[in-house]
Order: sequence, then C-alpha cells, then structure tokens
Amino acid sequence: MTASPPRPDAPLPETAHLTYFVDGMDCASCVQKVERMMATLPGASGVKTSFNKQTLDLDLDETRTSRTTLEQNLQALGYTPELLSRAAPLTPIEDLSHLTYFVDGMDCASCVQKVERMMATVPGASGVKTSFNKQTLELDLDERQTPRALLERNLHSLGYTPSLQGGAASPSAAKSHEGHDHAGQDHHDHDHGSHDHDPGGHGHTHEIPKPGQPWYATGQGKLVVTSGVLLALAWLFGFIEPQFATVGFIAATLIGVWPLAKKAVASARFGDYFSINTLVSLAALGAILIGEAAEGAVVVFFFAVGELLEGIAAGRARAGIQALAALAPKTALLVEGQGTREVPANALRVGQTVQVNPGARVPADGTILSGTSSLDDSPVTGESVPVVKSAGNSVYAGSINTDGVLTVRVDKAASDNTIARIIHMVEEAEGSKAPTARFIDRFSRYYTPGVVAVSALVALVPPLFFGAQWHPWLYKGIALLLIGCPCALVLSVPAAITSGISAGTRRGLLIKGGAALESIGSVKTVAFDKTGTLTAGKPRVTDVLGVNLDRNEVLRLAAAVESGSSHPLAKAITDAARQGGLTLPPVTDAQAIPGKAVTATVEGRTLSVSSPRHADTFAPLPGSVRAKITAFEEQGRTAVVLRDGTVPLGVIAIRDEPRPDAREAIAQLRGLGVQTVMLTGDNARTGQAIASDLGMDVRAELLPEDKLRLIADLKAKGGVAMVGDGINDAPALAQSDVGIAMGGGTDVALETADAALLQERVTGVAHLVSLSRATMQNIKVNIAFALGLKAIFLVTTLLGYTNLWMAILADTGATAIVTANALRLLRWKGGGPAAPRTVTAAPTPTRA
Amino acid sequence: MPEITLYTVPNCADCQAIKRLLTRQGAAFTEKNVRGDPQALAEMQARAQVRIAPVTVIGEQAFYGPFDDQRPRILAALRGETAA
Repeated sequence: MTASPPRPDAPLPETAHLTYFVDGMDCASCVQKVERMMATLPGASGVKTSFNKQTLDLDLDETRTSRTTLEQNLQALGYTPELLSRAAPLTPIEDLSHLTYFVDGMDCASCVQKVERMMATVPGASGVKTSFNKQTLELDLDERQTPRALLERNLHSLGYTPSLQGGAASPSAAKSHEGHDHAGQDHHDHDHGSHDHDPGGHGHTHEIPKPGQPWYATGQGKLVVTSGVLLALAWLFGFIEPQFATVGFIAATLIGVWPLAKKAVASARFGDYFSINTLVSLAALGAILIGEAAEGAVVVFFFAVGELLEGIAAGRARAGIQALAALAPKTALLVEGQGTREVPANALRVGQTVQVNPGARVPADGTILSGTSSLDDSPVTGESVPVVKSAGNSVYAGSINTDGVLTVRVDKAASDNTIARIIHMVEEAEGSKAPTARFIDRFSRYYTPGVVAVSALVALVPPLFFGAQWHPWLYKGIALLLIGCPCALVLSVPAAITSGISAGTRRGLLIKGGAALESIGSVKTVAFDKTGTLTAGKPRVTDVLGVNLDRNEVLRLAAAVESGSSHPLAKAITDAARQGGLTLPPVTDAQAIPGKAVTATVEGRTLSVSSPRHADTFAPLPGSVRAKITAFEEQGRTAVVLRDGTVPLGVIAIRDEPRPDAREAIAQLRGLGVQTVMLTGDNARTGQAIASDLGMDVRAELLPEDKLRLIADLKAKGGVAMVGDGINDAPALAQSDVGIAMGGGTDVALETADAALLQERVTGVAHLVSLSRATMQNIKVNIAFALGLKAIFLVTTLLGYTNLWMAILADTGATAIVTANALRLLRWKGGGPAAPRTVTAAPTPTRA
Repeated sequence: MPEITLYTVPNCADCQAIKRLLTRQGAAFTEKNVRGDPQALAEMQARAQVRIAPVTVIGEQAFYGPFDDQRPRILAALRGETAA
C-alpha cells in the first residue's frame, strides 16, 4: 500500500480540488444546507466544510458540474462563494489528522455501509471515504472531538479490526479545548471533567397523584369520606336525638371547613384575599351562625366532592403522560466483553453498548450497532405500526423490540432521553396558560371580590335599611356567596387544555403550551415547507421504461447493479424492486465510479446504471429514449439509464414524492376552512408540479428572507401556522403565529417549534387544527354551562325558590359536568378514523 | 451563574433553538449578532476559534456546531456550574 499522507489517492485528472470561502454561510444550519445541496450535485465529492474557517472544500468533476453551476447554486441559497484555491492539494487543517485504515472484516458492500453509517455519527470525522478495491477507510478526523482510540473501538464493536496505514500526521492534540470535548462520547480512559452526565441530577420529583393510588387514599379523598360520614351520622342522629343533631352538623362543618380555612388564610397571606376557599369558609361559618349548620355541612361536603373530582380529572390527564415514562424499562443488559450484565437503566452512560432482546423494551435512546428488527415506537410517536430498523438507525427508550436481537449504543442518559424530554415539555406546556385561561384568571380576580361585596349587600342592606328580617336575607347572602363560587368556571379552561395536550401527545402531536393549542385552531392559513415536509425528502422511483425489455426486468437488473451502493438514488431503485417483490440475482465485480455510474456483472452481462449524460459519452442514446428522458426531467424527475455495454436497456425516473398522506392532509385542512400554501426554494416548475398534485397554492424560488416576508404578509390577513421539518426552518417557524415542526423527535424540532408532529405525517397538521377546535369548543361549552347554571340559581335563590344546598349541589354538579366534559377530550380520536397510511391513486382534483 | 454569551446570526435554526433552550433553562445570556459586526465576529473567533454561529460561551467553555451537538454540552455546563 502506498499511503502517502495527507492524500494517498491523487484526485482524478479531470477533478479540480476547490476551496471556497462562503460569505453568509455563518451558521450551523447554513452549513447543513450547503452540505445537503452539495450532496445533490453530480460530480462533487469529498465535500468538507470548516466551522473554523467558514470554508467549503470539495473535489469537483468539472465535466459533470461546471464551477459556474456550483457557484450559482450557492448564490441561489443566498451565499457568496469566493474561490480561495484551486487544484492545490488540500492545505492540511492543523487540527485534522488524515487517517487511512485497512479494515479487516469490512469485506462486503453491506459491511462498508455499516462502517459509513457509523462514521456519519462520529463527531469531528469528515471526508469519509471507503475504498471497495483496497478495503480501506479514509477520513479526516478532528481528534479534539473524537480521539482516534474511540474511533477504533467503535470499529471493533462493529466487528472489524482497523489497522492504521502510513505515518499519518500526528494531530496537534496538545490544543485540546476542554469545552470542545464531545460529551456525547464516553470512554473509560478519558477524563470528562465537568461533562459527566449525572444521572441523578436531572430527576423530576413532581409525582402529584400517584397513578395506582385510589381516590379515597388521597388527602382530599379522606376529607370527602370524613365529612360525608359525619354528615350521614349527624343526619341519622337527627332521628334519635334531634337536639344533638345540630351539634353533629356543626362538628361536620367545622371539621370539613378546617382545611379550607387553612388554605384560605394561606392564600390571603400571599395577597389573594378572595379565593374559592375563602368563599366556602365564609359561607359555611355563616351558615352555622344563622343556625343552618346542616346546610353548612352539606356545603362543605359537596365542595370537597367537587375538589376531589377536579383532582381526579387533572390526575387522569397527567397519568396518561406519566404512564409513558413508566414504559422505559428499569433495567438494561449492558454488553461487557463477551457477555451481558443487568444494570439499572438510569445508570447507563452515554457511549455504552446494551443488548435488547426480542419482546423487550429499549432501555435508552441510542443507535443500533448491529441487528435488524421491527420496533414499535408508539410511546414516542404514537404510531403503533412497527418500523423496521437496522444498524445505524436511532431507537428511542421505551420502544418495543418486536423480533430481532439488537445491540444499541447509548446516545442519551436516562434523564435526557426523548420520552423524558417530551414529558417535561408537556408538563411545562400544561403549566403555561392559554390566553383564555389568562382572561378567566383576570376575570375571577375582579369577579370573586365582586361576589363577596354583592353578598354582603344582599345580606345587610334590606335588614339594615328597609327593616327586613335578618335571617332570610343573611341566608340569601350566604347562598349568593356559594352560587358565586367560580369553581366550575376557573376549572373549565385548564381541565380542557390539560386534556387536549395529553390527548395530542398520546397521538404523536406534541403541543408546547396552552397558547399554541388555542391559536392553532384559529389560523387562517397554513404554510408548508416543501422538502422534508410535504415530501419525504427521500427520492422514489416513479417510472420505469424498458427498451425492448420488460419493466420489471429493467428494475430487477438495475436494482442488482445498485444493490451494493448506499446512494439515495440507488436506495430508491432497490426499494422499488423490493416493493415489487423482485428477487435480485447475485452480482460480481460491483464497482462505483462516484457520482457517475455503477457497474457490475449480472447473469454474465456487464451492466451499468448511470446518468443520461454519462451514458451519452459512451454511445449516443436513441432519439425516443432521449425524448422520454427530457420529458421526465421537465417533470422535475431524475432519470438514470440502465445499459448492457453500450446498449441502453431502460430508463428509470426518480422523484422526491409527496408524502403519501400529504394530499389527504391538504384536503382535510381545506375541509376545515384553512388555506394552504407551499413555500419552496425549488424551481417554479417542480414546485408547481407537486403543488398542483396536492391541490394547493405555491410560492416557489424563495430565498429564506422571502419566506419570512411572505409569512409576515399572511399574518396580516389572519393567523398563520408554518409547518417545516424543523432543521432549517426555525426562523420561519418562529416568525409565524404557530410553528409546527415535522420531526420524529429531533432536537432542533422539539426545541424550536410550538408544536411538533412526532410521527412524520402531514395529516397531523389537520389533526392539530381539529384538536385545537375541539378543545376551544369544549372550553366554550364549559364556560357557558358554568355561567348559565349560576345565573339560573342566582335568580331562583334571590326569589326564594331554591335553597342553599341546592345551590351547592348545582355548583358541584357544574364542576362535575365540566370536568367530565373536559375528560371527554382525552378520548379524542382526531376527527374520524385514524388516518390510514393509504397511497393516494392518480392525482384527481378533489374539492372538499 | 457563569456569564453566558451566545453568538448568533439572523435566520439561523440552531441559533433559535439554543436561544429557546437557554431561556427555558432560565439562564440569562447576552446575544451577539456576528453578521455584519466584525468586532463581535473577531471576539467569537478569539474565544472559540470558530467562524460559524451559533457559538455558546459559558464561563470558560465554548461550544460550537449544530444544536444537537451543543445541547447536551450546554446542559452539562449549566448543571455543572449550578451544582458547584
């Protein structure tokens, strides 16, 4: 092996090595955007971006993509590239060491993929190249981020033995920045100092009503039972010794009112002089004073029942969410050497490897190192259809591993896994108040003292100034106090919001706060980002065209040729073949000319799959084939040609298809009376084609700032929600009234958006809108009910038709009904049957 | 509480995410927009040897890279400091 660092492979003669300083590429998401764009450029390889220098490095095959095109693409994204060097060998970046490993055991295409996928997760690794011919792995490693030893250990854990080749430049490791250490990697011989994850440091301790605890065991439950029993005893006593019955009622009242009075005094000390507790305490004591102790006892009893119901309601809504946390297993099988050892799941440390057996739950968020299995991710995404995952895919704590044995590298500590974070966010969300809730708070701040004042006037004025009898008016005054009690009113909003948020979370709709929940339902327009939101961001085969050959045959042969490649287009072709139930013939001599073609020997023939332009350089394509290719490309599709030697066998067209449920989602939104618009930076033709398929408006060729401006315009015409994939749409998400991120639990999405769709389905947006509307409807009914009932009893009591305890019964009844109504939301199913994953047929415009 | 400085540029997803994270954690921070501000840019480069936002400087520690990379380290730094 002639490894002469830093560049063992001389670039191909027609390949220019370019280094650009990219003006404007000054944020991490910009870097990602550039990298993503570069991945789509034919002929570009070895793409590297530098955070330190704000540069873009690449090898460009200028016969495939001209430098002008590259620069235009960058400019279209809003960046200004400035060429720093050309054709010069890479100036070695001081902290990067260029490493070349011979990897023993990496001797099959899928092994190479496994290594590449693992490398993609290694911080500080860039320019990763694997060689099929030499069985080598080449990369630039920033050893401040990932020490070489760790990289080697990772390879070992995959079952490969790396051996370093050539005298690779030693890293200037002396400059190890304490702060730059990736805490995401953990290893035994490396001190982490302050980066250690303390498993106990982040625990939540607010276990309000313990899930298993029966209602009568809670403090409030005991109060209800005690005052109920006392009330019943006093009532029974009334038949035996009527003169002592009053004493019994007084005792029942006083015992029942004691905790309320304590709370009333406590809140008065904090400046809240007119709490519900104050009202009830005053009324109960007043009832004793006017000799209506029996009614006082009833008042206290029913009030306690109301409070109990309230507690149960809140508990039920939260228990559903808390139950999710319980789904993560308590123990894990830690892989140590050859065997496994059972350890507590919350003692797992980042970087450790665990084994997950079939039927078991995944103990931690992590990445699969080996094995393939179907995983039921429903605790995190609400999606109960198992998803097949294999090496390199991420798994969530709490998911059920249905079939295969997996080894998983732990990526997050127990206190920081996705479920824990979602639960934490839901708890915060339930605490954050919706505008309606805030209005009711303000309302009751004036309302409650008002009730006290009016009660006092009713009780005092007629006897004092008009010579009326004291007793009936005091009685009415006290009744008013109780009728005025705003329990049901105050309870109506939080109960509904809590239930709504909980119901959403269990269906994979994470809503971060009452305000978001309230405003989603009232938006006039929903703006969608295209790539990764309306489309899956994963190209798929749309058309297969055979030249004197059956379509399936074309697909079968092309898939065989591509079977060893991990390129997205190759993946699209092999996926299509698998879906078509085709069995792939064995291949030999598989070779890839990066970015141009893949060749292999299949069934004795030398076949290749390449871009049309590359195919043209060997032998001009026939006119009919060329016309078809042009047509495909005009539809925004990518075409590849399958050839046997120089003879074209067929054409396969590939497109980044809209998500299967996107059409349905747009129709549902229209059904809800919401406008939809697609915002895309893509060219107008592609955007138009996809938007008209989906039946929505489109604004294409937008720069990021255009998106912001458009959202501001839409905002002026009423509420606007922005739906994006959360990775690069954060500014637009923040600019809109409600930002909805499409992101299966990715950090950026969870953090920036007001709501996130954990199962990446567009119909989730329509579900959010209808959940929000259902919640607001629920709140309106509750408020109307609570106020209406009060109004009725207010009038009848003042007129003397109803008495005190009926008023109380009415208030408790209203509380119970409001609570029950709010709990109804927990069973919310998303407006009809759960959207099935149906692939919509040919695009026929529907009108909703 | 250590002094926290967050270097950002406008329209940057990761910057937004870190801002929200810090706010949610109740950590007070100074935000500096480095785009079109050579002085702030120079300061950021001096503290982290990096040109690309977001850069989070907490006390003596500097973090850079996408949000997903920074998040655990920021949380660890915040925890470490408050525990001390």
